[in-house]
Amino acid sequence: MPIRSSVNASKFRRAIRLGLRSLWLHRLRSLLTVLGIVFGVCSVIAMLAIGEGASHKAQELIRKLGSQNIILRSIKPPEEQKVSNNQNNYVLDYGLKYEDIARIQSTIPGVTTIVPARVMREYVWNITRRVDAEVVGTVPWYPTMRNHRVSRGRFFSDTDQSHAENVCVLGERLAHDLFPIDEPLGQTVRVGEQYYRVIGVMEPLVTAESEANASSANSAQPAVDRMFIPLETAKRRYGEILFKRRSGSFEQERVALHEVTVKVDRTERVVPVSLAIKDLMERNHRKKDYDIVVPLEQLKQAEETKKIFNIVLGSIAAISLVVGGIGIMNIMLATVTERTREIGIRRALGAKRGDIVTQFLIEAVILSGAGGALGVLLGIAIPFVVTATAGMKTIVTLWSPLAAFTISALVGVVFGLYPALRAAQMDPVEALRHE
Amino acid sequence: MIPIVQLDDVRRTYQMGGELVHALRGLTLSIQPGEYVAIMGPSGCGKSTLLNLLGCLDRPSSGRYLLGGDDISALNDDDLSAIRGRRLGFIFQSYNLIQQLNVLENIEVPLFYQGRPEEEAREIATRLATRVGLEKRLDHRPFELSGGQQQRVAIARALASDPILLLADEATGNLDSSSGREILGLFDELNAAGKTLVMVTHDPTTGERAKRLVRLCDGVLESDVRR
Repeated sequence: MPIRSSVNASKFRRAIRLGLRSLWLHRLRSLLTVLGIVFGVCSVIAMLAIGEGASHKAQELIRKLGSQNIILRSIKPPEEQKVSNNQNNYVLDYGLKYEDIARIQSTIPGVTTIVPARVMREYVWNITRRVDAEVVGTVPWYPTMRNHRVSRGRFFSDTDQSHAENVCVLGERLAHDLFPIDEPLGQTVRVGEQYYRVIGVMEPLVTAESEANASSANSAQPAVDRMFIPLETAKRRYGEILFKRRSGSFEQERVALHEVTVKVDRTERVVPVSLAIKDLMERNHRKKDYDIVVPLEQLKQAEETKKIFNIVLGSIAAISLVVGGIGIMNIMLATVTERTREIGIRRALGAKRGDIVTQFLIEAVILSGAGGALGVLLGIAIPFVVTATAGMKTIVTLWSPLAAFTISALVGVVFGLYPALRAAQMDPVEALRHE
Repeated sequence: MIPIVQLDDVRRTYQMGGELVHALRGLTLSIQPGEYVAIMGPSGCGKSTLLNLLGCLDRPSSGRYLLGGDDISALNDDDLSAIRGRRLGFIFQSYNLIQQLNVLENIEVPLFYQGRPEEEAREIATRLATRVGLEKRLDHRPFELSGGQQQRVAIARALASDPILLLADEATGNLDSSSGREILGLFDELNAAGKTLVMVTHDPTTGERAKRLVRLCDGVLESDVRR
């Protein structure tokens, strides 16, 4: 029925205009009523955006480690440290061994590739420029495994590896610190007595180590940057025993590998494989001189945390919207009483109960909708301010303002319904007599 | 000819506290098209109750009320609202204009509830405002108008849906005598143009203007005089 619907549309338009005018008549009152909803909506959107930003960053870090990867690290057993302090020539022997890799690769199904790495803390020199860095001896397939790509030049190849060439790939920051003006590619850097030819520069990356730093110290950059050399080169140049000079003492360590990344063929198998590795390692290491990190588990944990965070936020949102809704209901009840006579007049002039309900419901929904819209605008603006001033990453997802606005409009319907029905139930004779 | 109003033994009782109040005790009355009726009587005689019944704002406790031939007693709330909007025009003592709306919009209110198109409503409202002499004040709000002007807006509003019956409740009660005379003059004009009018008043000189005088006392008809 096109005629009927056009009649309804015109009725509706007029009801909206009327509602706006009535609300405008009590501007301050309307504004104050709406504030509850505004703050509720805007705080929820802003908090969600900040939370989303934080968890996104954490998840990105974890994902960079590779969700199909399992990372094993050598750690110094604490009781050994005491011994080494007493006996200076004692060689500390701990950590991951080449045999561990061999065992993992040969006995655990589902393991596709393994990236071993040795990490030495050294000074890297360019003539007289000195930068503290981690020298990482690893394999040519390190970049693909760790999602850490080369931005310029190339990574070392199998040939470099087998020939134990003195080539290196610099981390982005390291390259910049060593060669602030010159192009680093083709230059040489010195580490200890050895010279290495720079063949590539990595993309800037927040590595596994920096993840802890990032969350605790809020810095996106790791403490020191890395320089990558072929594992074979590292073995030959450094041997098995590493010397660490400290102020007043020095210690020797025998650590075959500092870090091993194990790639699993399917994501579903990551957890069983990690358990198998844990088992295997426990059987072969008397002391707990290693650590197993499963990024996938961390990712799941991060998602779990985010879920809890969202539930908490949702509850806060619900509470603040209910409070805002009660405010609207309160004001609408006052309005209905105040306008009893107007209701009587309208009823006498032919308004049906439904017309009265519509009129007051529209006012309530305009209030809550305007509050919602204002809250959405503020809620979108606040994360930008936070990002600009505090430097925190924030993400405003599309659904959060949409949901917040819809719910706040619904709050208007729910809390406006009772006052509107009360207005409609009034006896016209009584209402007309009302002063 | 079908009478505009046909009341048959209409009674209306209220529950007031524990007591039953008999506001109307068996009233029979018939009003023909084109009549101009004044209803008078002391306060508490049932004038207001009668006017509320005639205006379909209330329903009789017993008896029958035919408005333009249709039985009102059996209708539901929505149908009563529709009848009020289409067939009846109210003129109140305190004008009862809606304060947020201007002159034109006030006149349009009954049309709005009938769902008439906006352009049509605007046209009717402008014509009626001109008829009651307010063509220069179309966008004024009620508080910017004098009492007499406000009452004229109310009359225009009552005429908006071309009702079969105009009901005036002490229409001149709040006005000074010259404004009151103007309003009564307007009533005469409307009646001369064929409108059926019922007004409730307690002022004898106002009652004199009507062509028929109905006196109520204690909820029953005391006298019914045609002039």
